Amino acid sequence: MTDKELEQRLEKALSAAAPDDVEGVLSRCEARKGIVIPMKKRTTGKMWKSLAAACLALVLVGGGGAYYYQANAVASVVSLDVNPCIELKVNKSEKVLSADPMNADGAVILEGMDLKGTKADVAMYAIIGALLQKGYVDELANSILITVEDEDAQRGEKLQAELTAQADAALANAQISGAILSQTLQMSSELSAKAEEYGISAGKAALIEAIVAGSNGTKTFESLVGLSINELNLLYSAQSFSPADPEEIGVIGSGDSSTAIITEGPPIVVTGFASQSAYIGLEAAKEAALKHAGLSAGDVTFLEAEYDYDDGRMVYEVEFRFGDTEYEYEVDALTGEIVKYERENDGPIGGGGSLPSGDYIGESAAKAAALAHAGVKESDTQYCNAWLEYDDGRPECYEVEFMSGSTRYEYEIALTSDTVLKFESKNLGGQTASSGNAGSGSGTSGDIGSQGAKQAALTHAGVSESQAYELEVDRDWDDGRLEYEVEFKAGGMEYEYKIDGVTGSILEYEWDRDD
Amino acid sequence: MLMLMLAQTMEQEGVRDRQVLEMLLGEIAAGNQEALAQLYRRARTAVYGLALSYVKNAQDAQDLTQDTFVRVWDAAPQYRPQGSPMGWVLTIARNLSLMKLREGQRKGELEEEQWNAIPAQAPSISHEDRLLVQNALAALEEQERRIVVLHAVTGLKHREVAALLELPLATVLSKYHRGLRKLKLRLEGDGIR
Repeated sequence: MTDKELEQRLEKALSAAAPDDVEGVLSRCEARKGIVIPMKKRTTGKMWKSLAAACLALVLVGGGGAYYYQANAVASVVSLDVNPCIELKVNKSEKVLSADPMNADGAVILEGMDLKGTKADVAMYAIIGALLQKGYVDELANSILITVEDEDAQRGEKLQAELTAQADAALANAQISGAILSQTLQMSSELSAKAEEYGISAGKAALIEAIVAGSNGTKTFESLVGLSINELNLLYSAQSFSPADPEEIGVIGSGDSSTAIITEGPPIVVTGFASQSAYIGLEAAKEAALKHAGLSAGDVTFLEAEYDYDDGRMVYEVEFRFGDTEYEYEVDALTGEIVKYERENDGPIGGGGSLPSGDYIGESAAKAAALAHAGVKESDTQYCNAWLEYDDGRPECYEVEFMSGSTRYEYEIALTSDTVLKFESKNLGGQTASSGNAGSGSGTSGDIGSQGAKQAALTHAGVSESQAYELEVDRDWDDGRLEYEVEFKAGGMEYEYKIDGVTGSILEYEWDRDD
Repeated sequence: MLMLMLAQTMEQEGVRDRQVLEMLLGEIAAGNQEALAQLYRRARTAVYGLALSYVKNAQDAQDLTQDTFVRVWDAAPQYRPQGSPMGWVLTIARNLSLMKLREGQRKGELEEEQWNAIPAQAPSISHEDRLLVQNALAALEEQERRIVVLHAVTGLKHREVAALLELPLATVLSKYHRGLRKLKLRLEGDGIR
């Protein structure tokens, strides 16, 4: 069966299972039409338009020619980011000199709106209204970034506070619990160059820089540039609000509250909470991690639970402690799937203490067993660590990790003998060299083929093809590189290999007892 | 080269479908119920498949399918053509599904839901289709299932599936291939080809 045929069968089967009740849908549409939603929208729409018209009228009456030059000098530049991005140039008396869209969505918002000459805070109120009306701010993504660029920091901060208050009022009026990030920047050529390079506002660039600066080197500007303001807000809030007291974690989770978090000092002030409606929520993430660990909330002490962005997806990082063991989980924020987990035992190092050490071989013997198996001398390693690994509070085995050259080894050694239970080695070198061919989709010129991959794995394992059973070869693209995954069993062991599809070199392998 | 040409032909088919959907959404925005009925016929399987991949049971997926089209009716005036009308409809379905899941979690229904894809009353589904949807799809991991179903029933490209699910393209591709492989293995094991 080809892939296409299989897909067609699947479509046919799902089509038979899917509901076919167009009447049910139409009856509900009829019922809704004209009752709540369209009415509400129409009223708000009119309101914003008449508001903008009123402001305009006000300005026409009030505007005079005497202070022409002063009035037309740009004092502050205000940018507003949601996804629509809008820039307002404002004079000394906080009147709008121009309102320009910075992207296509911004143009949609400003369409039919004449803000020139309005007070900046009134313009802000009208723009937020249009954002709400056109569906850019809703319960799924409610974050707005307001940036004031001004040489005069004091004047800028005053304007920032006024604009934030107006934006808040507009959101409250629409009964949306929004989250507003606001900041005042000194105009900086470095920042505007970066903003221009990525086609974003200086305000968004500053927010990304703040997150990168607070990430201890785990994030880069490039990796964050594609995120929405709501996602950036989640990350920023998670960084600047890492509570020491586990009780406070609940505060982040209760997204509906209107209490403001004010972060420590400038530059970025956060009010309200970024929406998590698109995600499973912190509590669900904690549950998922606990379930995976086989523990219940009562057993553990939570250390940290927050948003993060890793490998191109939003995740919750959940950390907790049970006895001497610290658990670290990354839970996919959309699906609740466990993306990564790590368990670390920091009990008494050195093997002594309260452990029932009588029959155990000890960490140095475990180390020796692993090194001997790998054929590596301890003096040739960059580091070599061994510790007792616990499972559900009971010692399970010794873990030994060491690095020799560019290869990292991980071993599990039995508690009471030098038996190797499991080992894995990973060559960390040479990966960059072969990852250069990303994107060359169908290029098969350098493909070793599944036969070649199988042979490479069997040769490495010292197993002949006739000895191997349950042999599976899978062709895979990983990070733009062609790879083969080879799995087989032989002599009571299970083997897993990852082979470079072009060079045939062994990228990763793992042997485990087949039980 | 051949791959490229094939992709272009498929692209053209996709463009036509897209234009029809854009047009239907325009009509729906203007209040045309017949257009909504047509959209329903074209997209119901895709919406159902996606909802099912999240909630895992036929009853909830059926409800979500209906809710999605009602929401499409309400939201169509705000739709602006941006290249993927199907993606827009499915984003609504995805968001409603995620909300449904969260609602379940708030009510404390934390137990992992069993894969239960066949509606209680569905006399028209053949035995073979039942095996495929119920048994074979059950062998897949949640994300693999979602990716395979989306690709099979929505006409979205891998790139669009990746955007919809907010996953890297490479992940979508590898999970898709792994998912299809598992499906084939399972089908062959069940003796249906």
